Amino acid sequence: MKTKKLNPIFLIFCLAVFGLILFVPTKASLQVTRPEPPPPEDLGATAVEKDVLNPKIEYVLGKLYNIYLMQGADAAREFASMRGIDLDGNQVRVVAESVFANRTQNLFPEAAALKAHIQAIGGKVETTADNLVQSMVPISSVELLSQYPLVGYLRLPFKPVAMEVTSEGVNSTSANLWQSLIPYRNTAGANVCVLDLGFSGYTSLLGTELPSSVKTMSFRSDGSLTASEVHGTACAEIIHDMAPNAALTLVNFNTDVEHRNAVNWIANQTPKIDVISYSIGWYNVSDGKGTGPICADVDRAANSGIVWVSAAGNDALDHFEGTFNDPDGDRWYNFPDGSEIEAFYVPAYYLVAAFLNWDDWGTWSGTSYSGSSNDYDLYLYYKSTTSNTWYLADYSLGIQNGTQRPRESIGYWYSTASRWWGVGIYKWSATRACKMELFTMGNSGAINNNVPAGSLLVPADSASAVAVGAVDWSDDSREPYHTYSSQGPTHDNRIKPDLSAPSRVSCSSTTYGNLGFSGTSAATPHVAGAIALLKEKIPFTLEQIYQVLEGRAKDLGTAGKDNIYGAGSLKLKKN
Amino acid sequence: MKKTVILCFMILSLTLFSNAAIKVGLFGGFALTNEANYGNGIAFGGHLGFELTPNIAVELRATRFSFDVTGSDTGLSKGKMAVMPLELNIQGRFPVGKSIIPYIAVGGGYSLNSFDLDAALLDPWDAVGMTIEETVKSGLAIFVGLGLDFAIMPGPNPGQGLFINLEARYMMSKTSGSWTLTDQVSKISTGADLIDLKLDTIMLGLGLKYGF
Repeated sequence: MKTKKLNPIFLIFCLAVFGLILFVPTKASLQVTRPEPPPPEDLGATAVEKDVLNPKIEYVLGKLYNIYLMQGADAAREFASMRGIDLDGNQVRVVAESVFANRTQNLFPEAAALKAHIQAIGGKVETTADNLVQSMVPISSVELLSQYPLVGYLRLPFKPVAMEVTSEGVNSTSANLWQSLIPYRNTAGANVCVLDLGFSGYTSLLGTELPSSVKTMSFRSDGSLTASEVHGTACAEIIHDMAPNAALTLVNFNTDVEHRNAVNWIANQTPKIDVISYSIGWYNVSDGKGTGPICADVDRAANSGIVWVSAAGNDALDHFEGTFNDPDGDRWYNFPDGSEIEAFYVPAYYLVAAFLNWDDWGTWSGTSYSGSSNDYDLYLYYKSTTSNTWYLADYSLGIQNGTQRPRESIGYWYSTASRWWGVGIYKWSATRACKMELFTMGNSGAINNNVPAGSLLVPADSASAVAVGAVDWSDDSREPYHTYSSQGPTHDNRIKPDLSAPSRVSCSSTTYGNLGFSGTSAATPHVAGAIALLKEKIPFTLEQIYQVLEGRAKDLGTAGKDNIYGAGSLKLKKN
Repeated sequence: MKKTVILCFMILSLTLFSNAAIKVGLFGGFALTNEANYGNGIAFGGHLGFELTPNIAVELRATRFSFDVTGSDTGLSKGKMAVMPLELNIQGRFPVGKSIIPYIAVGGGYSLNSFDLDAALLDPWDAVGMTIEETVKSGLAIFVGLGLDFAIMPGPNPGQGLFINLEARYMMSKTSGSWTLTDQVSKISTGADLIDLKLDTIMLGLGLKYGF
């Protein structure tokens, strides 16, 4: 008997089919690995909106059209601004795709009819390519244009992503709205000087992140403009983002003497410098009342008509101040928690420093202080990582016997491990209990007896400076990004900072990168750039422009101007 | 005293010229401006004339025209200017038969001017909370012109009947204005005068006149 032999190929095929039946996941097994979309009833208003969408109009464009119809031109413009949609008045830039998708430029006889239709509905054809017609059309005519038989689809133009980084603060402050305005009765332009420590890498950014050319000057003794420091470059980038047409002058220094020379040079420039962006602060150089050598430089610049925009400082969590208190009579200051060591935690590999000054500067003559006759000393300790033992690391025992400045400082120590550090204040000789002001550096969080009030760095205390605090670009009131921002009042009880501005923003410099530029250093050039931007656009005086900015600031914190946010968060459009 | 003299003059004039022909008419045409950043516009208006003698007439005339202003940094910004000159002119008329009356005219008057900024300029500024205002003043104007009345339905007497009127007039007027820019939030404002705003215009008109 002849048996039928199974064809091996047929056998493999059958096994494969069987395997597929066995292993193709069922609906139930799919649910385990991939959640189902929400049921339609959960879509709520979204589903309703989707039902009425015109399939021939791109969603965002359709939304713009609906907002325009339902809420008016202002709301449509605001929406367009947020979405980066090109508007000119009440006209929107659109691309009409012909129903004849395979047309090329030379084989597009419908183009003439489409162009004529666009013109008939009040639009203007800008350019055509193949089956695409780019035009500006009234927002109100978007639906009408989509219904034209030759239009297959109506959309917003695609846009390339430029290889550049723009600060998020540009849009969050609405500077972008101002950038698109044609100057009104003003052709003067604006000149901004970035006075900083260094501008590493700036040359590679010319023409992209920075203007194609900038004026430069170094007052450092080594003449290095870059100075291995990218901070100034990042600040300049933000100014260019805010005020793309402003001329930039980059100036650096490294000491107070170089600082003075730099300011004198800036004040005498032609064309005149309008704004100095100063994301720099100084510890222990003056009494916090707007006097002293650095504040004098600010005054001099202001007297020559320059607006000095100064970072408030990032030291709200690093600051303590209080009147010397020694209830046990051992000459060591007892901090409010009773401890004689003000402790702060420093992560490994951070630099540690401490700066002490007290309210005995004497009289400021315009060039110097008369000096202090109360003598306090500063001690720096570190704590064992395995026990509660404190070890003395360093001390500063400067003499104050009548003419010296009331200041002591210690730094910079390298914290080889994550550990507690601490400072002690010792009364050497004093005729009165002076008010101590202490700044620390290196701490990862607030120091034990932290007093945020009065934590401004010099020259943010200057009456001639616009002091700038930091808020988060994405949310003005967002914690904890602005808790470090130095607070007023000044030591003569004036409200500072004056304004707050976006921080935690992006810049191209690799040191900072995406959303990496934080602090009042980042906030300051936003304000400087905003002043320059308005200076370019409107014929207001610099003083008026600043008043405009203060008036538009979004009030935060305590109602009215306060010592945390100043007049509020920088906003360039009416709220 | 001055008013009394004017009144006496008017009474005397009416007495002397109680037989004067009266002409009323309407016209339309073009207003061609003389400034680089001004456009042209349509003009229209009406007039009331008194033909004191066959060779002399006086005429009251109101014209209105408007034109686009493209804008400049020192003058008016982009917008639309409306001009309405009110004019008294005297005409020297030179009849050729009963049907054709060429004439020349010289007059003076007062031009009521107004200016509206273009929404395309205002809206983006309004969006950022700034208000722009620009105004122009009304002012004196001088006119010279020449024209032709052609009788299409002559009346029993010269100057009577229905006429077609062709005319070219030149208006010389200079005015001033001002601009202000105001921050809607702080109410801070700045501004300045706009001086030497020339409104010189050639008006070409075609109209109908009826003489009683």
